[in-house]
Amino acid sequence: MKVEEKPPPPPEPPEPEADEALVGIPWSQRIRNLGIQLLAPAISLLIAAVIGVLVILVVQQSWSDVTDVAGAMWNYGLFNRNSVAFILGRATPFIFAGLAVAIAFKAGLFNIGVEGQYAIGALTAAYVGYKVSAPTVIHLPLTILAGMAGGMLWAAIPALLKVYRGAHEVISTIMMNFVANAVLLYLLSGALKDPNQQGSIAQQQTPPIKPSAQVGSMVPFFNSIGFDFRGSAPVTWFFVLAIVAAVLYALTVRRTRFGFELRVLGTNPRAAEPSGIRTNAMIMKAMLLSGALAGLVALQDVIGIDDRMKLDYIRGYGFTGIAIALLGRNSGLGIVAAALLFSFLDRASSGIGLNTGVPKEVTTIMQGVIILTIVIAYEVVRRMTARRQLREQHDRA
Amino acid sequence: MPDLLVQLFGLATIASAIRAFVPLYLATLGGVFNERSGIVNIGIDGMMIFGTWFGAWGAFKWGPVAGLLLAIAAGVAAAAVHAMATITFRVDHIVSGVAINILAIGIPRFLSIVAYGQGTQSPQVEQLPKIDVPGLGEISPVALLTVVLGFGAWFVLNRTVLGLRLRSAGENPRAAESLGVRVKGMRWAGVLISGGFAGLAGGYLSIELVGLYREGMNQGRGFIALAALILGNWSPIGAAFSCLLFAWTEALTVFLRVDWINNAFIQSLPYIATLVVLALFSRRVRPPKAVGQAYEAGSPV
Repeated sequence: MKVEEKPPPPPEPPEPEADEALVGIPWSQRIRNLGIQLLAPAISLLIAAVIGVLVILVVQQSWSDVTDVAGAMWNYGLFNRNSVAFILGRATPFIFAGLAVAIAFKAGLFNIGVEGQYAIGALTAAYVGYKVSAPTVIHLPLTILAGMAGGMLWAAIPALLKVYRGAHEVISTIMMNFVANAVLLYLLSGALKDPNQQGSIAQQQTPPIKPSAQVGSMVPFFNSIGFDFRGSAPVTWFFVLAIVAAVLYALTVRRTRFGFELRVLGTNPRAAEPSGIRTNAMIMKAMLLSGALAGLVALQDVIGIDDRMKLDYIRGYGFTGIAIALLGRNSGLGIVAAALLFSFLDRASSGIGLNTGVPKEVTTIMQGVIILTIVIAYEVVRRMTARRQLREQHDRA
Repeated sequence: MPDLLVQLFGLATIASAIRAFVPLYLATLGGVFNERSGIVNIGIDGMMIFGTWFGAWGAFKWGPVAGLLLAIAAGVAAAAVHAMATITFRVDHIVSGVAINILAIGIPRFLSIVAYGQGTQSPQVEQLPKIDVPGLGEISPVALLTVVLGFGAWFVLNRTVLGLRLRSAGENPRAAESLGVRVKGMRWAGVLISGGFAGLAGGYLSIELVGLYREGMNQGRGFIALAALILGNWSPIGAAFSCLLFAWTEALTVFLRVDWINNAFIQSLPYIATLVVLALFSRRVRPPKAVGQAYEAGSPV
């Protein structure tokens, strides 16, 4: 009973969370707020680094391995010839996956099924990509839309089950991931299999995507502005689409009526229905949008890099997407930053594997620690600020 | 059609279903404890995965009994992280559970590389001596232990003071606290017990059922257990029946072979069954009233 049940009513209602209220706040205050917001990720990254060091010390029992790993992460991760291209390229699916998870999060929904949704999206996009013949201006958008539709379709099932049958989306979306795997296996070894595929051991894949549906590499562009990437570096124009998607996401969530209703549903579901928000329709829309974004996750691989769909397409992007949405606090900018960080960790991981005696999976442990500590750190920081606000209200009264 | 009947209900199918029942039921029993105490545990799957890895490693180093004990300890340790996040720091239960599941992808792979030099599999490990049961063939002693634990869980929850207090923490924590129940303590107990069960389930899976650890061997059983929990209406006895149903679908993935269903879909029968069960029963059951809600002593909820 330490906290007083009824703080004295404040003279003016302070609402630091709403954007509109931010306009009147002085810059010093704003910078302090930003500092507090960055505190949690900073704490989390620090703990992850400390645990990474401890893990290396326990496993290898030598301090020189720690410096080796740090050196490899820094030198290879950032300054290898192709590292920047790799980081941007790998960040692309991560951004889409993070946005897909985040838009569901905003509505208070947990879409753990991004994994299955992008697998199905990749499949539908690949089908349109190799089957349809059309000029690029039609074929490419059609292929991308097909991918989004595939992801949407796969998200629609758990959404309907939730709205009409009350089935919790966490379990149903996970189950849909397993079923997606079966669909992949069935179609890629049957109806959609490349008839010209050589050898029996080679993994099942679709016929090649037609050039009219392929997305170009960004390497020529980067090299024309002074970089020196190898021609095969995996970065395509999909990266630009990912950034556009992040901007659209941020605008939708913060500046539109739909985004507002989404946030109301997510933060106070009981207030949503009485304030005129049709809850079930919003759940459907949020899940379908999430599925559509998820459908874009693997498209860079299908129509930009591999130029076909392969059986091993369930690659864990969806789970990384959850981590990225959590770390980026469901904000567009935060998600892009978190995606770049995780992409850098992936690249650094290759460097550790190539240049040190430490297993490169040490970065996956660091990613896991980031996820766990970030949620706790945000909660601690939130409570700290809440306590400070309460104190300030007391002082003012 | 008798051939189909044999595939569906033959002795081999039933025996296989009973073996598949053990890890599923253990995980579901754990779920009963954490949910009845008021904490949602989506991380059961991850805790099982930690159990499979540490179980196989312990059995590889010191034999099957040590392996099973280590599996339980690993589950409890993961559960302690979940309890700290959800009860002490009041983080959203599902966020914390998902984080545990993601950790359970990376950590075992790292540990495998350190322990075995490769990331996906352990060597074959020694198993407990099997018990010969007439009609069903040889089964693991853990299967018998599971039956005992099922009755034990029912007894503890429904016939002891501890069980009453634990359930009160999940139904009406405010009233429970006013009667002197330590709500947070009960919730910690519920989650730790859950982790122990999940760890044992994982240990059984790797040591007793398969005989080694393989990456991805858990195949989402922890999530199926959550559906079994719902279908079993949060009771140890009800969960026994729902787990039998799911275990049977798992056995069918091995024994059912019909030419009008592609094998890929037969393999996903347990997942489809889970979706069907969720669709049919989610609204007909009554979850613990305060499950999923954070609780702070003395604060207005």
